Amino acid sequence: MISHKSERTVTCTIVGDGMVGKSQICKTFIGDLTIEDYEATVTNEHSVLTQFMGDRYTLRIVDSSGQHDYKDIRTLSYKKSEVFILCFNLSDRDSFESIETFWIPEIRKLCKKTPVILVATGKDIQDNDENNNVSKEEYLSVMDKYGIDAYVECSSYNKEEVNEVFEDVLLSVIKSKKKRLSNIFHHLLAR
Amino acid sequence: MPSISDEDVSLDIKISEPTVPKERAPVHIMERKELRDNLPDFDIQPDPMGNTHIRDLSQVDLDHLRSLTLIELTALFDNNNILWSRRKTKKKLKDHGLFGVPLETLLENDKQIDSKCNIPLVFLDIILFLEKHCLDIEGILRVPGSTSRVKLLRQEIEEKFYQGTFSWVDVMPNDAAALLKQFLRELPSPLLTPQYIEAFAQVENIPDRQLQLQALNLLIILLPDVNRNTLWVPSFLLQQMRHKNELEQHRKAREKHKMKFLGKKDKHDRSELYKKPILHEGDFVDGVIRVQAPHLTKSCVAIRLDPGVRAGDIVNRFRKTTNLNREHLSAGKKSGRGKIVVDPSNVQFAQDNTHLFEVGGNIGERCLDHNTHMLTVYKVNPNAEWIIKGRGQP
Repeated sequence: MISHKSERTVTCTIVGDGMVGKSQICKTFIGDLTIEDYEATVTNEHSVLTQFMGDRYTLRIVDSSGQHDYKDIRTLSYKKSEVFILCFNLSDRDSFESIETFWIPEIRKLCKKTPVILVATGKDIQDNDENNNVSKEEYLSVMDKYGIDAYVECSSYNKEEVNEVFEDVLLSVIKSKKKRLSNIFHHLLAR
Repeated sequence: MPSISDEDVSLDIKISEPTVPKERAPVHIMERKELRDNLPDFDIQPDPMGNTHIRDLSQVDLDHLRSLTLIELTALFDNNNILWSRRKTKKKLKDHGLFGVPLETLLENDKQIDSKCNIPLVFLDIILFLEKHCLDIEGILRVPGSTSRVKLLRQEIEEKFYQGTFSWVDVMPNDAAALLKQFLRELPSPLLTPQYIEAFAQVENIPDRQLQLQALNLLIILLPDVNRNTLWVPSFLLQQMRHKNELEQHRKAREKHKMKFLGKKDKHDRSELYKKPILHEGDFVDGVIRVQAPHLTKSCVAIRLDPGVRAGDIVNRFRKTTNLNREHLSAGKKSGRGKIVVDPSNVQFAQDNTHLFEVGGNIGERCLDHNTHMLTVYKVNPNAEWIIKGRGQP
């Protein structure tokens, strides 16, 4: 058995346009694998007990609304978030474009340094219209431009790929904590 | 104290006259009529606020409710010029054994055995026995059992019941019925309580059938918990209680303001149960409620209340839609970095006994019926917290 040294809560918020599969990512992660009719989420919160690299973590996942008009409710959870999961759909160019035009500005306005993970959903589907699909080069360039920490391609219904998303979430939280510590260290040494 | 005008008081129990189609045989109608004379045929009308069962309410709310009920009952009786007096009884109270012990004491003793019970166990046992084996015997309550056998039986049950060694195997039905009668007869106070037994008897002098039913309903709410099982709480009384609580809160808020002004500290702030009204929290959109489920994996959901949303729909959102696919949960071979593991036994969903509760605002706590129209309740109590949990869960 793995020994549990500590248990801590990590809060992450999932954002992105409507209908890209944000709620399905949460459902797949807790093991509820059903395909249901689409229903717009206002906000759902899940708290899931997980094990990662020998430690226990309680993941608090805030599944926010993709509709741009629930701004007040959505941004309420931004301050508490340690990571953002920014979703877009590979076969929906609109959802990709609003990352640059809407989501990154909204996040950076409130949380300047919080790590962001880019998640491309709909890996298993391709739109018939070639122009609608988003290519890898395109989103890699967005990543570089805005300093995004990691990216994952997945299908919202694939448990393994979804797990990968949350592994990245925990990794980036651990990393950003270390970074903060070493920053303080450097600061003290420089004096 | 706000006054209730007549239009505030809406009857909850509406007697619906059965409409008999004309094609039916006249004999049938006669039968219906006869039946109706004996027992009124009534349905409980669905209330948009949800019908409230007495066990849905918290203890604090019940206490408030009782005093209101008494006022209502007195008014009802006064309107019909009925006088009733409280009978006074004085009997020696025993605090151990089974017979001649007050119900409250019995229940207290029983709670040590089974903390969830709400009826004395002896009584429950006798009833269960009668129900199971004796329903087909003629005159079960009329024909007495053998006196000597009943005497023996009674001795035996007094001795052995709490040791758990009493067996019902050889008990004769009529003896058991006699035991039940003795148990009720020897209760130090009548089951309908000395206070209200006279009132119960007077109900038949109310001319209107509907009012009679209402009076009975009120009377039964007044009974102590042990004496009463499960009943509907009329919603106009609840309304009145909410109103009173709100006034109370306003008064408290005003007082606080005054205290602040005078620079004094409000020492007796015991309003933990009733929260201060939050008038439109800035971060909340009107008509969107935040439902919390502290015990479940899906811990919080914000829901926009459309006119059709019922309490049951909200609970359904916390239910699991399929069986957990355990293979998927444990699968994973990719190496090179730490794996994330979700233990499926830690994932909690809503169960059958899970309900939506309305907590705080202008009520203590109320379990909502699955048919409750959420928008109506929200309008009455916009500052409540909404919590998903099982009955009896903290």
